[in-house]
Amino acid sequence: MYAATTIGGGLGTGLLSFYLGIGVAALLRTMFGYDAWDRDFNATIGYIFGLVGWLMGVGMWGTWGREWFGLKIKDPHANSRKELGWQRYFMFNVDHKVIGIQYLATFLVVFMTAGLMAMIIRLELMGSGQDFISNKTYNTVLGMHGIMMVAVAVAAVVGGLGNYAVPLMIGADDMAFPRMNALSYWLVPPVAVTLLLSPFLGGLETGWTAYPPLSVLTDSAQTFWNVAIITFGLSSILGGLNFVVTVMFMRAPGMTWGRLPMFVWSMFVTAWLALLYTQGFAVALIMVTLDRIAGMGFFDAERGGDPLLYQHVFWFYSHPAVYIMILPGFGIALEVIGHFSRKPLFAYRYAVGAFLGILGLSGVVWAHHMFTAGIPNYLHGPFLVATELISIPTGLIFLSALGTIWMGKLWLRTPMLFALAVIFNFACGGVTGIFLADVPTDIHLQDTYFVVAHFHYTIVGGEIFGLFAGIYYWFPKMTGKMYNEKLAKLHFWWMFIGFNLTFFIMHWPGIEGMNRRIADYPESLQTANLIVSLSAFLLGSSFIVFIYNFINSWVRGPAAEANPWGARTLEWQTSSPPPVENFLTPPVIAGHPYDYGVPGAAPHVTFFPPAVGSPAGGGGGGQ
Amino acid sequence: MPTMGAFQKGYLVAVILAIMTILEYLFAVGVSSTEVRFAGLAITALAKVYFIAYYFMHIYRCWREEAH
Amino acid sequence: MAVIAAHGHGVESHGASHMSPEKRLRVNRVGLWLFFFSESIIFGLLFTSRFFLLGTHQEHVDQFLGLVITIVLLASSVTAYTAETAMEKGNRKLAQWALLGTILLGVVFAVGVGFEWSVAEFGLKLSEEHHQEPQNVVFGTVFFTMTGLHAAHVVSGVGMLVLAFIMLSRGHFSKESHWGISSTIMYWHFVDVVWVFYYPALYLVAG
Ligand code: HEM
Ligand SMILES: [Cu+2]
Repeated sequence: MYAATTIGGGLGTGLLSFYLGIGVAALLRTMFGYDAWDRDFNATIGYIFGLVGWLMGVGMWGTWGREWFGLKIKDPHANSRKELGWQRYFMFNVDHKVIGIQYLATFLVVFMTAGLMAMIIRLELMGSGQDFISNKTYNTVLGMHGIMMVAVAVAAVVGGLGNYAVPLMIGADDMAFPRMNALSYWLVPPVAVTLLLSPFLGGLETGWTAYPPLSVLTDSAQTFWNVAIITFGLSSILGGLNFVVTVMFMRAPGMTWGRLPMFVWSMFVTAWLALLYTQGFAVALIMVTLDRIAGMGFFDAERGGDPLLYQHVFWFYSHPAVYIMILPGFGIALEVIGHFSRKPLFAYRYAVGAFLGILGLSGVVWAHHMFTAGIPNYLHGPFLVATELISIPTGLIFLSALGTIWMGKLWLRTPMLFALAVIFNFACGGVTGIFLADVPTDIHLQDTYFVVAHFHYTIVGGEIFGLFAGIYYWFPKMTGKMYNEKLAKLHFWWMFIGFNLTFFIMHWPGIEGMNRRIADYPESLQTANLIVSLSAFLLGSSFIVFIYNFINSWVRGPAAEANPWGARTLEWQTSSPPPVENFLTPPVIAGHPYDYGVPGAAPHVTFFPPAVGSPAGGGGGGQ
Repeated sequence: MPTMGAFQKGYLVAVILAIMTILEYLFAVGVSSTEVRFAGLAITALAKVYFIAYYFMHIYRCWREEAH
Repeated sequence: MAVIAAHGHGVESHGASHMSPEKRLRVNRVGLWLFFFSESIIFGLLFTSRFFLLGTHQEHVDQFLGLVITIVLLASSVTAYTAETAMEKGNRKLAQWALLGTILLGVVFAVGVGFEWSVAEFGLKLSEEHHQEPQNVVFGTVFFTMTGLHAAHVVSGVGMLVLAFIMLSRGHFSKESHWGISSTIMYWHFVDVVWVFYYPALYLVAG
């Protein structure tokens, strides 16, 4: 009932406001002497109205909007405290644990949908020639796959696991701005809906990067896509802001910067990146939109504009965005490796320094995506060097991981397997990155499947494996149930082998010069593509195991203990799942989170007064 | 300007900003070298932002306790 | 970094809903500054694009009008400052008048920009009148986009000021607690900060 009112209310007000916006746009256009109807213009204004309507309809009005007019608001926490069962996930809920699960579930669905699209792509590419779908459909499917996976990569870990775990790990009872947190989440459904509608509104032609002049000239769903992605950017920015302030101000007493768990550090740095760079994508798309609907000439060379401007602005975001994707993966990997090696994390300070170093460097390397785009030659050298400098901080993170594993008592449960795979896969992705950063090799490899293999190794191999490490690691905490270890290990090996087969072999057609984003290729590349496609189906099918295990364990898995991993960090010192206020008594931090087996080390957490019913001693046991 | 009342302090800053704006304008139309003009405008803008951020927006309250 | 340094030893009280009012205020304030920071990157990217596309080239603009609206915006900062300082001293009457003045000056500024648009000597189409010069179109593009985005902020700022004014007249806010007014006024000053850069970039840089 509650869920239905929320969603129905949101859709109702959203649609009404959408039509209102279209009307307002038509009115304005007539007033200024234009035709009343222009699809892209009117729809853009309608979208903005509709978005606001939707947000107010799902519950922002009652818990927030009324305040702006001096009216009394409903207690925003009411939705989490009531015994609502599953329905609380379908409401404007401000509890970070609910929002984390909302994010995670939403983006797992997006992930699976975009994965199915990848299967369609590989089906088409299984043989040379046009087999199944038209070129136009191919472009649409490819574009949707790309952007949806990018969305998963920037939001699934940060919005899902980050929201769930960070406040718990720093001993806070929520994020700094709980309502804004809910707002960031509720901005996502309109984006998803608009993206999924785009095949019916004219399809997509430009891939996820939306380069002009095509994105300006195309008669497709480009404008809808633009406004959807700008909205998504807003959601990331607000989310990032929230994490930064939360980590700065909400830490429990004694949780100094030097005692922050690695995952929290990675979220903190990622949040800064999202806060500082996401605007680039938004501004680039705003300029495309203005060129399309307002006749501006940013990218029209004939009228003096310059399409290269787009690439600069776009990559100014989208290169840092790759670190928004990978740093959470590193964070989870180090976190899990730390706890499952049962010894202190090696070179903690250097790893933190590495995160900060990446934050600093990521803003000055963007033009390595533009070596063949016609930038002046004198820019090649500096961007080459700056790009390769990033290997230094990345290397430090590797050293920290390897040094922790070294002589550790590895406990090879599923999260650990995934975390080790992050390190293994990313090594491959990082090495291919060097080829791409070197101008001479890049001129040959740019726009080929080598690039595709590179970024799948880094994003899927690095972040998505990290995402699954995190899902298995925190599953008992989030659901209060234990997953099935056998099935989880099956999933791991199946996915790991499928992934490495697919993308390792994909380098080969890339080196042969097979262009990305094209639905067809010469006969000579037939064998390679057939193998890649078959491996891709292997990879795709592995998620069936995951979905089954995830749902089945959540519904009827055995109850999980509070601290099944015997980990020292805070989130494991409260019940599974935690109470609404996270900790029944305020935690006090006295020691380092990773001091396993250090003689005389203070426990990471104590409670004051000692909590009843929570695991004694603040962790440290459970070898 | 510690001994000044809050209102006076703000108005003094506003006068400084107004003078800077006029000078900036006169400077821009008077100078013939593009580089010098660009540098001058950049410096004035940064100085103005400092005044606004410090005295009008009270940026220091982010890290200093507020006096009540 | 200073913020970080000042809070290096963790926090005194625990959790979002148990936060002391002082702490809540500090958290809101830093959050708002980060929001400004993030917005200034949007403005900054457009500002940079202007130079990327045109160097320091500039079409003819009405210098007098530009100087007048700049002074109007500065004057509105003064009234805004008065409103906030009056609130801090508990002088609600003065705060109301000052808010009203800010709103009026804001509207004058927005109207000024609209007027500027209507008399602009550059457009978005290549035209005979401008000797088919592409630079004319590009200047039009960046001018309308930059002033348009800024004006959108002015208009939304006026909207927020109106809400603050209504609430204040209805008896909300006090000497001790007036974050609603302070934040709106900070936003207003931020809009002014943007103009500090946009005015020279669009009007003065070519002399
Ligand atoms: C080890 C450091 C890395 C280096 C040196 C590197 C270098 C490069 C270079 C030079 C390109 C441009 C290739 C071209 O278009 O010709 C590229 C593309 C790309 N990289 Fe990386 N990269 C690194 C790490 C990463 C990471 C960590 C990620 C993501 C998590 C990533 C994701 C991507 C993506 C998505 C593209 C292609 C974007 C597109 O054109 O659609 N890279 N990389
Ligand atoms: Cu890059």
